[in-house]
Amino acid sequence: MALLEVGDLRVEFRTARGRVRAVDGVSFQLDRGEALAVVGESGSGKTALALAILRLLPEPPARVTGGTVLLEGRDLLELYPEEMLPVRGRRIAMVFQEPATALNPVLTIGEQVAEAVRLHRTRRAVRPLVLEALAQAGIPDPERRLGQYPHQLSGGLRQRVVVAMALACGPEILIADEPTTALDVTVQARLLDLLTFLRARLGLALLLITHDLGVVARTADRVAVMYAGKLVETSPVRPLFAQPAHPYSLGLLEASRLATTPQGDLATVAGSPPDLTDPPPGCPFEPRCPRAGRRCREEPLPSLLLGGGRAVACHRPLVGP
Amino acid sequence: MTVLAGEGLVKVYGRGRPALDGVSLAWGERETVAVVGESGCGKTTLARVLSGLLRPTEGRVLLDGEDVWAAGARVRRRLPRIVQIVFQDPSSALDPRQSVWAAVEEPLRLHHLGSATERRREVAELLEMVGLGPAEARRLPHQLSGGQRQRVLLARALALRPRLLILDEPVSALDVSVRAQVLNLLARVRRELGLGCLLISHDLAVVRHLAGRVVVMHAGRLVEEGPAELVWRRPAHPYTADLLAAHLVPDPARRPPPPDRPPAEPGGLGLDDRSAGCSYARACPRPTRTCLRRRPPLVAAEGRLCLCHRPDF
Repeated sequence: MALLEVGDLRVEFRTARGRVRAVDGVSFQLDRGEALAVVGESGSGKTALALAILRLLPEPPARVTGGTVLLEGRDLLELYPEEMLPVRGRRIAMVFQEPATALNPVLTIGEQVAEAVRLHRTRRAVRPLVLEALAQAGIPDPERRLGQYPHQLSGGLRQRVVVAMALACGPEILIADEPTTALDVTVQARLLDLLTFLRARLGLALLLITHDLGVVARTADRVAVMYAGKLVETSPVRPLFAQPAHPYSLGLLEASRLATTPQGDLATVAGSPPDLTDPPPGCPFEPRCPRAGRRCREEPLPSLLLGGGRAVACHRPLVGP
Repeated sequence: MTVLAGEGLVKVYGRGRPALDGVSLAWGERETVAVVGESGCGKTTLARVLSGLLRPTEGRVLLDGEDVWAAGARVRRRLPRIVQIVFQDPSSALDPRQSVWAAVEEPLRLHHLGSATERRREVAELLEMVGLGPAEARRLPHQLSGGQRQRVLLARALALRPRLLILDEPVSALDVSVRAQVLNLLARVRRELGLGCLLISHDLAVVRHLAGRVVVMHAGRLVEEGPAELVWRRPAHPYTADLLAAHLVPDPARRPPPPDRPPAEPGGLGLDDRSAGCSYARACPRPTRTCLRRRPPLVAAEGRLCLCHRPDF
């Protein structure tokens, strides 16, 4: 049994302009110790997906309208709110983007990490656990950091504190939502390597939410490409980069590599993402897709298994089954 | 022929450490120079000083050889007609109550250029140049996508037909698929109008695509300058080498082996505790005692500059 299994998950947001289908029938598995990256652009629904798994979506305006989130077979969506408390932090922890806003500016580092621990452990055990968590997150001289405030730390160290808080209770799954987006390149590379190290050391499963295929290439075992609330392709990392099956995956890959066309221009994905209040009946990528045909416009998306652990939601994939 | 140059530029905000600490840079007609560096390195301050928006604490900004701040208001008023800046974050750089049309027309009105009819024709032409139609012209910023907003900012900057364009992180706020569209637009506009560009970016892929010459900054200082290809292939400054090594390539085959120790985040490497010596000495893989004590010299070799006691030419 997979550690985490998400099945046909659907999330809607109610807005003034109507219902937005932010997550539209997403299914995937996460095994113990595995790193899965969900890659997508802004508005693709990747953050809503992460928050829905932890039941942290603001309801309203959001609403989970269907599907399952099975943690070792138990559906988290069926739990009472208080039954979620021992799940968050101890089983599944989250690292948010923007360490500057994820930390409380008026509490010391020690107090904030202790808060995460205290919810789950007895009072006496707190201090050593806090120090261990800070050390584990690669923060040098943790004793000295305990009494410092977030503004006294660099952005890189602040993100390490957020990681320490997430690790403090020994979770099995870490969900990291754009953990390095606000960071400088050298700091970013070190943080990704830390996550890779911790995964091997602690047997942690990582669900990495990102828009950056460079981050995916450095960190993930498997990748799920998200577009307009749907997973359009899931694949082990290497085959996806070598030979993407979905035209959107190819477009994203070319754009992030700054690949040039024969005319010397950069390859682009034409147009912009669809309006999710009124999604087209067929493939959401059809209006931008260079390979689109009549079927793509009218028929619902198929899910094709390609072998080798790959799946693609496309009428005319670039790689055959 | 040098159009715009900075000589020994220093900028100090309040009583803090200099944001810009003795930077010299010359910029020729039709040349594209990239400034790379991480947050706090002074690259945005450099852009603002060179565009005449900020007065340097020390040093000179030279426009066609004339000191902009010594020559008086007449020369400074000419500066926006020659140097224009496209700010980062297109969502905050536009007035939320101003339509696209008004935003692009504003610089023409402020500089009393053309009659109303001529301005109308000019704005239509500018919008067409950046790929925006009459439908978008009536919209307000919140009704536009990030890529469209960036196009509006570009049209506005081009309105005065400048010779040099400063682009401060022009695509960092954009999605990957839109980024390529805007980069293509920038390349086309630059070619068609014969513009010079100063590209400020932390994204090495973007820099490599657009710029012929590159300037690397660290802690307010210029640490390396040279032809982009050469700097890329054989970085002379250890900081440049570290920056290149940290660049995430979208290719899993080039993934480094997993670390066997937790990579620590160097603490206190912030900008506040700089020693008298090299700003990179504490993070440098091969520092000497001299590096910690004495400010490094600017060494020139092979058409390159490197601020280092032990440059790796």
